[in-house]
Amino acid sequence: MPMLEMTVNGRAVKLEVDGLCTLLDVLRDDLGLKGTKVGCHEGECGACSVLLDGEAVNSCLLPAMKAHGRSVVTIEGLGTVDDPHPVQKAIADAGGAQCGYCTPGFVISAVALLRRNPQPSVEEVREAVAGNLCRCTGYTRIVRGILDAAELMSKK
Amino acid sequence: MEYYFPASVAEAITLMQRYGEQARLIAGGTDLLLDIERQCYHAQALVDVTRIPVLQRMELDGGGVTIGAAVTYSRLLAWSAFCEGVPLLADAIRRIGSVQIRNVATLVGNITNASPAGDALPPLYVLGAQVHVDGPQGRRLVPIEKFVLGVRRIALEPGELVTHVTFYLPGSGWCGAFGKVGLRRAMIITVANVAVLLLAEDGRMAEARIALGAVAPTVLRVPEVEAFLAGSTLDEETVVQAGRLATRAAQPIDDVRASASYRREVAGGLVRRTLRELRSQVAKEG
Repeated sequence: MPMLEMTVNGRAVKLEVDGLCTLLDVLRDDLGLKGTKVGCHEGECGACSVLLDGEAVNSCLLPAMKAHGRSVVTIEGLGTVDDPHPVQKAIADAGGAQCGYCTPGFVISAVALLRRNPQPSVEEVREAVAGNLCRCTGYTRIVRGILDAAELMSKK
Repeated sequence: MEYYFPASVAEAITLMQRYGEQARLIAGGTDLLLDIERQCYHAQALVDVTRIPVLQRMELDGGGVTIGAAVTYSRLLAWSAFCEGVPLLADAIRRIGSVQIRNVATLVGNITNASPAGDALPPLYVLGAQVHVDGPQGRRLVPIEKFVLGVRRIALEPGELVTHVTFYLPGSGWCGAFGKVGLRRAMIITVANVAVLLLAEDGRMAEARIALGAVAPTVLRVPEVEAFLAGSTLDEETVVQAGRLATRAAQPIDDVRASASYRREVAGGLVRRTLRELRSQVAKEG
């Protein structure tokens, strides 16, 4: 079996994986990082989103070996309950998290967007999270939270 | 299962020959992983072409565009000469999947996947794209309409891979547009789509190229509509008749996304809508 070497949330990781194993399975089952969620498992819902070299990808559609030699950031690498990422805090404050299952994926998509485009328009935010499904909030508060985060982060 | 990152095209070909049917080529893998998930796919090796430097090529040279097999949609959309030069293809790509999908999926993957609903395909047909193949018997060049043979069937022999796709930017006087109907705007598999490329001269269309997607096993060029439009202005009567002819030419099927009769109507409607969008551009070129 191929050997996978990657960085996950800043930590070097080395393990043997099957060539067909997805990054999602490695993160959750081998590394115990359960913040990345399993939703549809076919690239529709975005609950499994992680950052690969800073770009949002669906970890359920990515063979883990594609992360070989690269850097992965999961929701655990962005913030904690005591020290949340500004995007996490802003979405929570805006009431953009209800059941919370989709939230890590939305945060990942928003962080990738704000790195590339620190002051996005409403349309740009909607486009950036078009690959993330939420069945609770109706999206309005999530989008508002991301826009609030953009404002907060640009003031710092 | 083994997972290989060949460093060169030659090494990829050697691997594909060694494993034969037991290996699959992978670029972005967003369609391949679904296949694997759904069909309990059995293979001994995945051969990942995305780290072959020459396949990362993305070039514009004297009006000729070269796009390597490892180039993602996101890289293409970040390339302004591409977006300005072929807006019909850029628009099609913007409507494929999501940011997460476009960050890994490739244009060449859309060709080799050969789905009847592939959104990048109709624009590539009207642009006259050429598919560049390399393999044990050497290199060859296949026009896209000869490369896509049917639903999920392509003209790739054992051991071969697609290295890149090329086409020429439409010259002055040409204008084009892409249209798509799906059940919502983002993240949706197409019900029907269309690419239109027109050569405008003196306010008339000297030439029209129209390709319909998702209304037949492969992309459908519609010569009867193209011949009808040639030499004409884009007045409302012409637009409506072109839509009627497109509806007649479509050969769709019923599936979970839409019925055949709805797809036929949509094909006509898309042709009308896309021609109307191009009306001011055709008049301006005149």
